[in-house]
Amino acid sequence: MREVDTMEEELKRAFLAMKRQEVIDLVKKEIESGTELLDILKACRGAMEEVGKRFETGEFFLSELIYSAEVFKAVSAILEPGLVSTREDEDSKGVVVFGTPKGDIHDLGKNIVITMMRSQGFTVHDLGVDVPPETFIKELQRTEASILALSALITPAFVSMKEAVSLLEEKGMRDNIFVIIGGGVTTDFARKEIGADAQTLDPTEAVRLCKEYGERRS
Amino acid sequence: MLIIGERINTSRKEINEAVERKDANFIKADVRAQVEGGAQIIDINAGSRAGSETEDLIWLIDVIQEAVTVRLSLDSSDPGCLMDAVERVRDLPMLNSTTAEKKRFEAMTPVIQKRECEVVALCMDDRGIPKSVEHALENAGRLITDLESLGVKKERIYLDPLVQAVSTDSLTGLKAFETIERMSKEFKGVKILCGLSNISYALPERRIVNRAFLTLAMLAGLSAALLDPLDKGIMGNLKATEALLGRDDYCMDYIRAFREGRLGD
Repeated sequence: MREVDTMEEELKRAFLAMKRQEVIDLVKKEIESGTELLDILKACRGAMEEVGKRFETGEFFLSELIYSAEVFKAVSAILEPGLVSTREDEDSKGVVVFGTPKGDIHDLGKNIVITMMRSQGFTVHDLGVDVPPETFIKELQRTEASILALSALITPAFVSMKEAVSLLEEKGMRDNIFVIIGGGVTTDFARKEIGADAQTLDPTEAVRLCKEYGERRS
Repeated sequence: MLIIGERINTSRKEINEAVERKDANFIKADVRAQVEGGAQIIDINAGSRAGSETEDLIWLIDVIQEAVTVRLSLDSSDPGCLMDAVERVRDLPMLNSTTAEKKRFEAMTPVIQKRECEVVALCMDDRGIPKSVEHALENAGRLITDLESLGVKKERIYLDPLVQAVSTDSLTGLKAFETIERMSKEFKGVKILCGLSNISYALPERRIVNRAFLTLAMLAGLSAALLDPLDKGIMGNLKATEALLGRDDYCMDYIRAFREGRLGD
């Protein structure tokens, strides 16, 4: 059986079995045998996508999602040096500015979504927690990102989410930026109130919504 | 946590009957289930079969080693029986047990010297079961010195603080946890083993008391437990406690136990 397995299948199996060392060994073996680094990265992304799906259906637990993301980070660290030139421009699925808005300091959900996004090929600029609206705008301008992601667990963050959206409108940037909000207290009602484009409580869905936006845009 | 499966004990009716009719398949199925349930060592006790204990213990060793590859603990208070049986064990045997009683220790000495082994050391001496923490620690210290002088490595010594019933002395639990904690701090490298059922003697719903005891004993520094790995309640309790004590990265072991149906109420 094993020799007819493709790299994608082998990597996926190791990822889904939560075998960190096996994933790393497979990646190293592929590098040695001359496989394109980008193909290896894509295969790992495919495996992570499956992990995300299984988390969404409830089959996998949060710790498994986080563990897989850690494994993916380890793989990225191996592949990155040889990938730098291709990664940022040709291959990036999109550039995201992400943070917990002013008024809230929770970051568990934010960090999970960021890891998922990075593992799916997004370039993410993480501004941390308690971030003032102006800081988001400056970072969007600096990085030319097309996605603003705001995550919050408590309601005081709504005020600064709304301010951030108003600032985008003031600066004439609103039409070119996809604003997605998420986290504990967010609802579709809050999304409308704030004027965001999308809202979710699920990390996998967050990544999918951003991907779909990227596809509509190109 | 080292899990020692306690089911092969002839004081249990179905095990006694299986030994009586030499039903090897019954024994094999039981130990396979224990290993699947998480047992890393199988304890064998044929002490209730006075007259044929040695013969029965040897039969059980042979049968069990055909079924599983985990290590064995030979559980007997008769040094002569252990002397005959210890050679049959394939991998590093655990001898359960010696004490600091003069005669018992002397009688166990040739068994301990016969081959490399792990030794369970019950912390009692000729004054009886220790009533105080200090007494238990004093016995522990002496047992470690004496066992080391027989060539037993520190990490192969399992101190048993000999927990008594909380129903007759309400400070029993506290004393046990203090003993375990101080043993783990003062005797580094040595392991601490406990039976879980003495504590609940003469109380209703003993399983609940046993589980609470296990959790607190693990926090205090317990490193091994003699238990029934097919009891999903106690195993669930153990897995959850390991996760809470930071010994289960990403809760992987807990989640695996859940998927394999090994957690229960």
